[in-house]
Amino acid sequence: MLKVFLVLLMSIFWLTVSADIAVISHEEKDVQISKRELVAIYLGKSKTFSDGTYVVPLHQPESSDAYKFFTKEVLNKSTKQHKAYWAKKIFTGKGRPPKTISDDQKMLEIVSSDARYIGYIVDKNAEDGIRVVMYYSN
Amino acid sequence: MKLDFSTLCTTTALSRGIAVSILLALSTASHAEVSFDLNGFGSLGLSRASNDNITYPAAQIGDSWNENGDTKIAIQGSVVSTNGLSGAIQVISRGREDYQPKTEWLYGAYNVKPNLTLRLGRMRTPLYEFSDYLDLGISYPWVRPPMTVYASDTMASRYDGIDLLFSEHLGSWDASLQASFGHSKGRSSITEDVEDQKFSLRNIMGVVLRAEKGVWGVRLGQLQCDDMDIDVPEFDMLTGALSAAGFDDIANTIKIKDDKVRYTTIGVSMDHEYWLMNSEVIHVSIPDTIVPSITFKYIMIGRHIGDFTVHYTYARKDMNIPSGTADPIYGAAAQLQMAGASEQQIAGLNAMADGVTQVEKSFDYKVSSNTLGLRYAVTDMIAVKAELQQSTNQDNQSTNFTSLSLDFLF
Repeated sequence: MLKVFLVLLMSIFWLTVSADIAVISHEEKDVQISKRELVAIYLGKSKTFSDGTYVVPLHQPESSDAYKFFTKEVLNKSTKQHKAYWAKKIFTGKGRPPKTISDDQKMLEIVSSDARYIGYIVDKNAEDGIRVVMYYSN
Repeated sequence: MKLDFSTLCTTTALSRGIAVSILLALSTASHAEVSFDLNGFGSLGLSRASNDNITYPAAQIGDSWNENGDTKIAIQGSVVSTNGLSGAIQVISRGREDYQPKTEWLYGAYNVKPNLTLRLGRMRTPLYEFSDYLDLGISYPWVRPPMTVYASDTMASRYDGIDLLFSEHLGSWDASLQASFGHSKGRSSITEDVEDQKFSLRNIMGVVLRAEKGVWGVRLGQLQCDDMDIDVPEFDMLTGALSAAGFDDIANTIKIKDDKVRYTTIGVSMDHEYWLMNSEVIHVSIPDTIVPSITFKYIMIGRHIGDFTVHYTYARKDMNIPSGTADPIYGAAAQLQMAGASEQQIAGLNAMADGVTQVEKSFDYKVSSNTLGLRYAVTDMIAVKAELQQSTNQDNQSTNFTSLSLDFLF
């Protein structure tokens, strides 16, 4: 009985801390992106969508849960490793980190304005002007 | 046709011209968005050696506490346009160069294709794994990368020329290829006994292949130069005497003029959430000289524990020196003695032969080191480090190095 209670308690706790994010692109950007391609785009190793057009990745602020979740679950790096990775790129002249967008609302505005952009948001219900490329949840 | 990059990129004036052209091109690109960045990094270091049995001249660590070896500050500016053009400059002021600011990079770049970038100007020479960010203390766990490798050969750390950066997916690996061409000149310390010599490397050609998959990285590099000069005035008298006595071949092996040099490197690294590892094997080949080959190796294993990183490194350097370079001279002296030549003539030849043997010995050097260190990440932008290194040479003499540093980004 205690076990069942604990499992229930844990699942409630789990639900309350779980973070979901949706990776989004412009509504007319009809290309498939694998997780590997997404990682390559966000680490500056790939500069194009699979159709060969330029891609500009956008991050949420470092203090946001969305950023922490994205770097850990998608990029598979701790925030420290992620920072160190970009410090090396910047100071060897081999790349610059993606730009930071202040919040979900601003991210939606920018991504829906131009087909070059790719970003991520917490808001699962957003639909206007964007296409959800994939969902991530823990 | 052999391209002569030494005439193409003779002076830094050309690099400056490139940077100015890039800025002009950027400023006239009316419909392109242009962004500017200013970043910087630095280190405050403090280090001491227990004695002078083993020294690493380029690291400048003396037998009393001194801050010059690792203290530095760098500022870097870059300008990037959405039309694919960019330019960058990095200026570093180092304690070991009396804080005289040096232009470490000054180049213009153009994204020919999304995965192909062409750079032109002054850049870091991609010799080894850490060559690109040797000064960026915060990016590695040590106070400085292994001295046995990185403070042994300080030649050609930057060059003037062009490079191509190409990236591609190879199966499940992310691969990148860097091809470099150019020339480099400056001053360097080639051994513990021969310090601060003028060097010039013309027509450098290098290729670096890097492949990454998950936490693993592999780096293969080959860099060669067919035309290397190092001026060593200390050897002039000896080489002059050798030539006058008809031993031109031996004089030429001691002189480093129009010589070939080839760096072949392989490196494997791992950057896991809890573990980290870096290793490299480097073979430097300088045929037709008294130092035909040098081998460097190191391996570092570290463990992250919260904000701390504990690491251990084993490194070694082997100079592979042939013995018996002076044998033909000793032989000639013996023949003269049998032929009844004057004592003075024989003594002169023997002195010359002894001189050659002494040069041979001064290069015959093997050193290994064990390093234990601790890094603490105060924040993402500041790290504090402490480390102890013991170096031992082929005669079993040891020197302990104690180092502390504070590295930061701004």
